[in-house]
Amino acid sequence: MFYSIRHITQFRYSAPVRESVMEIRMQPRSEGPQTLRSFQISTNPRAQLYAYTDHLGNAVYHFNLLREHEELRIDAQAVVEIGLISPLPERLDDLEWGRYNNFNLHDDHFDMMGASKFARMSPELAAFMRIAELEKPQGDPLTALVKLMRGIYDSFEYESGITEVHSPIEHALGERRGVCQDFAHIMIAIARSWGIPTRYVSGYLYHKGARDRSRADATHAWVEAWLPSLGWVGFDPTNNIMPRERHVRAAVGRDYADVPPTRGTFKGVADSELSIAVSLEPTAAPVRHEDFLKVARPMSSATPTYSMPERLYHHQQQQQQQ
Amino acid sequence: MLSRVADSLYWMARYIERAEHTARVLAVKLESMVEQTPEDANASWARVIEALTGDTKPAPHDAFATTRRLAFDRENDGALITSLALARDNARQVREALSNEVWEYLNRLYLRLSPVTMDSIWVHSPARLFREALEEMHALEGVTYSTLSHGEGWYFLELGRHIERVQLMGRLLDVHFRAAQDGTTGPKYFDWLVLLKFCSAWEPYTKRYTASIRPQKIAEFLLFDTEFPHSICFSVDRVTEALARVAPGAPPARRAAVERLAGRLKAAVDFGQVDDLMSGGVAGFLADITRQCEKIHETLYASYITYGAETVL
Amino acid sequence: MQQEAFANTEDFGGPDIVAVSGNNARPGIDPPYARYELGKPYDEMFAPDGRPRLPYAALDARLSTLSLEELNRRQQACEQSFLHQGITFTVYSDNQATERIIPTDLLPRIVTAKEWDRIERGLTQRILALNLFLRDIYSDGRVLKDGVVPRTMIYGSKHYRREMRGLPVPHGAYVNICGSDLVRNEAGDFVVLEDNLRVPSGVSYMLANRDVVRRAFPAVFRTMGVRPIEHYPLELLATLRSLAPFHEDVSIAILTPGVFNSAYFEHAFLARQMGVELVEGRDLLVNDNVVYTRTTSGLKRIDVIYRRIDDDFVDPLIFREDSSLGVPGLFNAYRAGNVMIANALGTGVADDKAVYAYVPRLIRYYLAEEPILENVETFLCREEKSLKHVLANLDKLVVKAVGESGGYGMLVGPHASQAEREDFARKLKADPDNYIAQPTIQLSTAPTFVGGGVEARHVDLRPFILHGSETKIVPGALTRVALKRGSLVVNSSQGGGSKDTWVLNQ
Repeated sequence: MFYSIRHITQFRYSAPVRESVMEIRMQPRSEGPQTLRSFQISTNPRAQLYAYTDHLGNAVYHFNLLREHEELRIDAQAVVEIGLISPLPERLDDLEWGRYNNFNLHDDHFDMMGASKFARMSPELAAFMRIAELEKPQGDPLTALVKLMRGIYDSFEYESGITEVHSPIEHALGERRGVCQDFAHIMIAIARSWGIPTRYVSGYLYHKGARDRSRADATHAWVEAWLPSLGWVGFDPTNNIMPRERHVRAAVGRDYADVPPTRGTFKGVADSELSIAVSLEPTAAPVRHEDFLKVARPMSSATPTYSMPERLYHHQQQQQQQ
Repeated sequence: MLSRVADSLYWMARYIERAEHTARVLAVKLESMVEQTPEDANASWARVIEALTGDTKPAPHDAFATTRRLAFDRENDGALITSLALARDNARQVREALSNEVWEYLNRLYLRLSPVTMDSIWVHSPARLFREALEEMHALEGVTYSTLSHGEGWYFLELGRHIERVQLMGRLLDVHFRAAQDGTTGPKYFDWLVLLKFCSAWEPYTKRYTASIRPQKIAEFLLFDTEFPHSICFSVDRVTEALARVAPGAPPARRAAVERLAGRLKAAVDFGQVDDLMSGGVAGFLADITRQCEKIHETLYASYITYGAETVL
Repeated sequence: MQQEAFANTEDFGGPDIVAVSGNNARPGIDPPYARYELGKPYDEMFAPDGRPRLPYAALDARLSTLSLEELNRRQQACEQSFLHQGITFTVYSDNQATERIIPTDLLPRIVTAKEWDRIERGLTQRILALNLFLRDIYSDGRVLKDGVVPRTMIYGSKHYRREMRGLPVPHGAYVNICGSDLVRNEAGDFVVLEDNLRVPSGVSYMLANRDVVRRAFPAVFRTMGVRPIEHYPLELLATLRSLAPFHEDVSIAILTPGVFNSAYFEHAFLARQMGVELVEGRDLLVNDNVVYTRTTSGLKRIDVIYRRIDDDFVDPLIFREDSSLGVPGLFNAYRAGNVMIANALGTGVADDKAVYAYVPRLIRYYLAEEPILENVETFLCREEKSLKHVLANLDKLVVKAVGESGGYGMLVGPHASQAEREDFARKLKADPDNYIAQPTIQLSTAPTFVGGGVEARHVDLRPFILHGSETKIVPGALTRVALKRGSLVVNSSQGGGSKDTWVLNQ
């Protein structure tokens, strides 16, 4: 199955800014059943793009723009092929827990077991785990994770605008509402508390039918947990499904902080307004670009930061020297 | 040279010049006060205040309070101590671009003046402190001249010093020559003498014109004398000279923009005629020179300090 | 202009003051040592019987000929000189900025050639091992796989920079500038208290102290054969140069947080001494992965940055977004190999209190050698046996939280109440990984001029190690001294001063 993806990000500034610097994590990964067939990225104003692969294997593009600009647009297009996905077993045997040992666990796993910026234990999370009966995993790891995904799906309403890109999970836990990013962070924190290496996946979802709660015109996020006998297995707590051929993976990390689609800074004093448009279609269907760019809340991308007020600047200078 | 360093050197020199000017005016004013009637002294204070701060309040001027405000009031942006503090702050930011001697001299001068209060100087000889400060600042100038390489940094200091001096001198002259037009409260013989002293010009002036004090000669001397270091013409020459020496590697188009302005300024001074000015044109002339200096400041910054990085790649 | 007070002291060409007279002043009895207390800690100057140790004989002889007034005068001249040079740091409180000097003590601290030899070899060995360790944890993680150092300790460290994984650094040298704190124990042996591997400071004080103290005791200085340290800036420059892949026209800059930083004097001092640019983040920009400074003539490329700002602030694009001190894009230029940064990022992971405890094991692991300089004995509460020992001896030990500094999360057993100890025991049992414990350390004492005379004060020793294509240690150090009687706290922020340190040829 082929998908054609288009992801447009547009920043508009209230006053001219200069020296924009930006990193982009949008290129779909090419591994397992997913193969990247083509990828193009361009910016307006035009900038020289550079790329590197980060320590998690994500492709990162970056560029800088010296001259003054009031608008910055990033246009990424990809064609991805999703191959045959072998079916998962219904359940695993109970010995699976014992397989989380030093023989099986490697460097990649250890980093996905501790607390990270957004996925960490807190009294609010502990309270939620008590109420939802998720304190201890039930059954084998796969069964327990499926139950966890279901638990989060049942306990939270999907509603955008309640939380922001930088919201800690406590926000969503308090409201019992949130978006894919919040649900992923909650699931990661709980699974890690059970001793299961779990990571954050940012990517795209091909929406089909009304069952999916997430928004079709935005990027998506879910989690992957590591099972010794199966490897990394995906869970989408937003939609209560196991990612199969409809999920396109772009980047993996400990949590959102590792993999924002864009992260940038600029110089100048201006407010910025962010618009994002995402489309994902089976490639047989032609992609229409005309009418889908509209102002959205900065949900899946952090706005660039502008220069500091003078006072804070002085304050930071006073940092301690050893 | 780093743009930020050039910026700090330039402002350091401007603030030192401002401090020196304030110290000189206060020293002369306090020394000459005793020889004036209260009314004359009051009118003279009013001119000093206007020249140093731009304030034009006609109220009676208390010498103690005014001196405190002009010298030691840290809330006052133009006070002597504020200027010195700002000069020192700028110097501290570019210590690596200054000689040890310059920094230490300036630092010591600040540390010495910083704790001084009006009460501690007023009883005996209030002018003495400002005389001493003035001497220290002359010495600082000498230390700077003889310990710092006369490279780009030095020329940014020169630019700061003389652009500031043109503006300070311009205001001082403007205040006096405008008052002379008014007639009633206008400067008297003694005031013209004091004006020359405000500019360290008394002796050089008499050497040139004898002791006959005439406003027209004073204007000629303070505006157009090419050799006297506190004349407008002298400072303009230094500015022109310095502009030719800074930012040697800058793109030619940018250098041309700055030098064009310098040429225009020099022409204005070189071809200025005191006869044309005396019928009320001094103010207009000074305003024009000041405006041109401001324009040079802006262009200097746009060309060498705050330019967009993309324009030089 | 006023002359420095001691430019013409009688010490110049004075009598041969090393010819010691028969009757020495005795500590605790005769001036200037009337108030000198010899206690249990090792004393740098006096042997337990009250006689001056041999290296201090000349200094002792000189001191006994000077009046207290004269000593006082010289002490003040030292401080005056610091103030005028602007060797000050700024203390902020109640919106008021006060400038203070770090007091310099008039009396030098002396280290013999033999002692120095051991320190030099020990620190060289240590920095080699620490750099190998950093290279390892940012590449294969062999030391983690072999179980020598627990993984959670590294991955849980807030100073571990995942961005550094797999990035090569020149000569494998992550730590290029290191300042290790040594103390002398009761037996008179130097042991390492901590390593500062991020942005160690104080080297300018080492140099400035030498400048004033040499002028205070010129004849003593000449006769004793003190090894020079003035070439430190040259060595630092060579170390920084060695990081660039090419060797001509290397453009070097020191990156400072700015004039409000407490160590700004040092940043400017080093820039001047080396003849390199002193830049702030706002002076730099990155274009197409190349770092430039803004100069009046245009943009100038920078090849090596000696940064004096923390990892977190280096690049707001990668690390702290709200950093206004750093340079957006700097890390990617670094990743691309277009600029070298000293110290490398992520070195802080190797200087926290828990990793410190592993350094002797790291030396054995990487170098197959025994450590030349010992650590202060440290109990890792994550190890069951140690935890038991710590819990049983809480009244004798100092317990520290691993991730904290500046005295937070610390229990000083001998000074704590029973309730405090019990409370801490609970914390220890709940989260043993987070704690280490050490016996209370008795720093050695050294003669220090405090107003009325010469008294004993506790000191430590911070030598500075340079490590690029080769390792260099200038024979000198910053001796920090706790100016309060009995105090063991040498930090400048808490009433500490510093001393010139004389490393002898003999």
